[in-house]
Amino acid sequence: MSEATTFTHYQSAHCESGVSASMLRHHGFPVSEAMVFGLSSALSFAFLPFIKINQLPLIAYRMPPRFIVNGLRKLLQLPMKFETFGNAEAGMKRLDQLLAEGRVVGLQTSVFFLPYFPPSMRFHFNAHNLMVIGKEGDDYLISDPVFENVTRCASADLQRARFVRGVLAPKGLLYFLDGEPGKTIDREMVLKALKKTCRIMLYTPVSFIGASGVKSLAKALKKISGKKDEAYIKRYIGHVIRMQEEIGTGGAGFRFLYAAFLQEAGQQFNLPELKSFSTRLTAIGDEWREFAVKAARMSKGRLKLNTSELITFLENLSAAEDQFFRDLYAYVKAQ
Amino acid sequence: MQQKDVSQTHSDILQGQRKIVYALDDNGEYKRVPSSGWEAEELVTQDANDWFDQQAAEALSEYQRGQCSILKFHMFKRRMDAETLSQATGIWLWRVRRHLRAGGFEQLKSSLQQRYAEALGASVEQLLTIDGQ
Repeated sequence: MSEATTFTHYQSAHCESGVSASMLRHHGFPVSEAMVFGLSSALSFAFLPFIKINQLPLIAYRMPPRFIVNGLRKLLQLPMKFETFGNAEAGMKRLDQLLAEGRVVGLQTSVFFLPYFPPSMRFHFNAHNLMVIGKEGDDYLISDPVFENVTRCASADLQRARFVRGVLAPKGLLYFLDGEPGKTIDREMVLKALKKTCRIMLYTPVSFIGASGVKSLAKALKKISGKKDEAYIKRYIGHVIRMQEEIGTGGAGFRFLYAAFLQEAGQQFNLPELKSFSTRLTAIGDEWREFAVKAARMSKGRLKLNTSELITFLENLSAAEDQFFRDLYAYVKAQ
Repeated sequence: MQQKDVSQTHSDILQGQRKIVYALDDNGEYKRVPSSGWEAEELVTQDANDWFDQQAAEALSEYQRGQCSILKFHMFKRRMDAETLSQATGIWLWRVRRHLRAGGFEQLKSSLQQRYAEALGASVEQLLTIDGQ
């Protein structure tokens, strides 16, 4: 298999933006993970108390799975093919066939059944993205963007990971680029993407998305702090942080990733003000990081549980993100 | 976050792996910086895993007292709860709950046991013993 020798592994903070950027780079379209993340308007915040994970609410710091790949496909007119399968054998056969054609194939998988994940990181999340770049014997060569190096996975394990059932079941989803992008990134595209993120963060007409979603989380925390016992509250805040630090990308990572996008876009497309917006968002990210450290220590009992301090953190973060995206929106609209 | 502030705690969670975080270098430019772990992630991930281990341990003693089926132990052992197990098997939650009760799994017909085994990534034989990993 020649692919493994020509493919360059590109470690990223987040799986979906990483796979998208790697695939484009592999097809001679040099783009960074941050640019991919920003262009697809993937930054968000969502507090979804009606969707439970292990009896606790779903909290997301970005748009839902497939949003990035689908967004990019439309924006850049990528000839991206998506295929799902009714049966596992057909799905594995098709993968082999595409690899034999020398393609790099993106897959949606469960995290839990990938043996190269450290055991502590394995949980039942079914929308992890990775690339298969070749096959040697029974092993697939995997470029998983959140790992440092190209790794291997036996076919039985990969099959299991591709065909799990449940929420966000991948149904063996594979995707690949079938040609060159129809468009290149330009200033208009960047401005449009910026506006879209501002609208998502400010004007989604439900209170649990965007900057107001952060406030909703603060409210929810307020509500349980009077009612539930300390063990539950600790578990709840631990869960909030886990969604931010582990399931999301490290240390309020999406805020930093978006700040990196603002910086890059400002330099490339003559939008000088984006540099100071990037600095502002970095400060907000640092604030999230501090919140995470505090809350994690409280959840673990290394700090005395002080729910009202965390609530204040969230209220401030909500206000800061609200003001940030208002100012950004005003600037972008004036361009 | 500055590059020099990127935490390197050699986290047990990552087992020598490093993750990418975005941080500013001395010139104020964003860079991809590898991190061997940071406190908040390590604490909360460990917590989440501990919760499952604790549930599994409780389920095991319940099972040994004849108060639940062995499936409950294996479910938590493999980091699922009744909801996720129901979704992963396509078996209604109320049925899953019934199968978690004492004797509820052991008496099932083998095709149903097989569905649980697939969802949990194990064999039926493994699910029928407590040390089946």
